[in-house]
Amino acid sequence: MILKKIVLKNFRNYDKQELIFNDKFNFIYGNNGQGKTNILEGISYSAFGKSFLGSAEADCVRFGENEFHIESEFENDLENIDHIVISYSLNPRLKSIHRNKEKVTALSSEIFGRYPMVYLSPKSLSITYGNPSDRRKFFDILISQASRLYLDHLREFAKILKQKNALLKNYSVYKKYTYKELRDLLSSYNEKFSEVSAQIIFRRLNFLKEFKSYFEKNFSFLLLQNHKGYINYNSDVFGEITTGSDTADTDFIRNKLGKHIEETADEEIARAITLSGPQRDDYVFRLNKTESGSSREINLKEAFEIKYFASQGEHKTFVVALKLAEYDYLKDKKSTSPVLLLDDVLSELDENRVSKIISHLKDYGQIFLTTTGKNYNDNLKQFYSEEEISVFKIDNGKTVE
Amino acid sequence: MVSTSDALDSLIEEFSKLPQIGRKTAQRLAMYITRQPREEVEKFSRALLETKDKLKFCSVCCNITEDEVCRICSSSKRSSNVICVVEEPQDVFAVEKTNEFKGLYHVLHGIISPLDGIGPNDIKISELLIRLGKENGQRVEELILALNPTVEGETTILYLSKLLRPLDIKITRIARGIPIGSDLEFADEVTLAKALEGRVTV
Ligand SMILES: [Zn+2]
Repeated sequence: MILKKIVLKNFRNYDKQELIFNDKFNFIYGNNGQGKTNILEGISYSAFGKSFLGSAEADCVRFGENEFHIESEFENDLENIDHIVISYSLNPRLKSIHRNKEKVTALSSEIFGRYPMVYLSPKSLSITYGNPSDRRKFFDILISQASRLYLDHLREFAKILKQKNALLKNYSVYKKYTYKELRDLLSSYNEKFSEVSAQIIFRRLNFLKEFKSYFEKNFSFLLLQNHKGYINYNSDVFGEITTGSDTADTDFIRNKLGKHIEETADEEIARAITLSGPQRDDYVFRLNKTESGSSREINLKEAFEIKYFASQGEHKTFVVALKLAEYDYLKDKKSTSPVLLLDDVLSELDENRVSKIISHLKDYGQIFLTTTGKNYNDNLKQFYSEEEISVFKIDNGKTVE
Repeated sequence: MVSTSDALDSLIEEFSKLPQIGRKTAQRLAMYITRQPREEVEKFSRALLETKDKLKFCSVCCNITEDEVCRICSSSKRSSNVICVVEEPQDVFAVEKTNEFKGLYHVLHGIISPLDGIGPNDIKISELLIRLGKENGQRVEELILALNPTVEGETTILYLSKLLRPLDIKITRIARGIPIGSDLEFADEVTLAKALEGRVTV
């Protein structure tokens, strides 16, 4: 997948800017706050219909303007061009997405997952440093891009969860039902809840099984020592599930979760909130530093949890390995090279990792890299020819030469 | 729009209260009314009031009707041992159009949705229970729950089937053709995939 060009109109600090991109390497540099990341954010709108930074659309409209437009052209491996237009207006609040002049929605299969893209920035460190919700979000988006069915389950689940919480609240706050009515309604919601939850958990476990080899390959590539990284799944009901152990089937998950929810119903009613389910599960990242353990099955006692015990460098290695694994995984699933966005990562990583990554950039498809200094450009010239690199200098919402 | 008539403003206001009518459409409809002859507008306003005055719920199935008992419920050609439960009166039209169903209906006038503050007592569930408990006439043997395949529809089905289980009536539901939440867009893709699979040399 190649992003051929983008036009930003009244987007962030851009008035009107057309950028024609290189199929290989796009080097975007300039001082902080000039709008380098905004270009990447605009690119993420084209691919997902929303910002990968999670910004609200209203914040992306250029100050003093009413609407922004982003027009872009993607070229797939068959050299077909897709024309995407994202428009958002503040008054009235209206967002529209057009693909080849036809109106589509952000989560429709016309957009979502069609233009695979991997974004790595210092903010990505929240995957290991942050809350369980940061990890769930990372994996949910990744799995959804590869599986439409998973996305559908997530959307259905979100609705059930909302309804169930509203039901509990209607009872405890507004006394809308009798206790018997509540229990009857609750057991109906729980039945549906367990059914869809089981689908989600089952797919997450299966994904981790598949993702394991992608991750391990990239992790060992980045490391100098023979350490091993693991990603496990953790939930209140099932405990920590070692990836690769026999995956329980959906019936097993549904029954066990359903039983647990029934047993804790009184507590849920008392606290008026859903207490267990995939919306509270977490991914556990572990690192095994004992050299001998490389080929054996994971021993949890030997592998410590990244979240609590890792050094900053180990965090970074883990996150970069996750992101590069995301790239490889999507590349296989989508049968096309994702677009790789590297946002200000050079300053955050040490020389060793940077030179390792740069020496392998040739393995990736189209790349966008932002940085404050121009010096890395010379570094790149040993890997790319002159016409394989386009350089953009950004100054206050404009490209300058 | 700069207001030039209070009457026109209030007409636009009323139109814009209708479901799926935005401000612009409401303005267009109101302007259309202003251009109609008086007789046409009278007919329109009479139809509105008559609908309100004459329509009531059928005492058997809760569908809207002008009579005490609706035409479907009072028809001798229909079998009263099968009841098809639907959300809204327009769902009755949809099932009737298929010409496949010869039983009776029960209209819930809504669906259980805690988020919208709608519980079992806000829709016609107690009417259904009373109807099924009645000893007169033919016994109901099967209940078809023809609710939409949404989260709300699914959970209402689960709730109803729990509630009705003691009554010893066969409870069925219509087959789910489209995966929840994905609507037709997913089906389109499958269709396209099938078409590519079955392509022939010309
Ligand atoms: Zn009737």
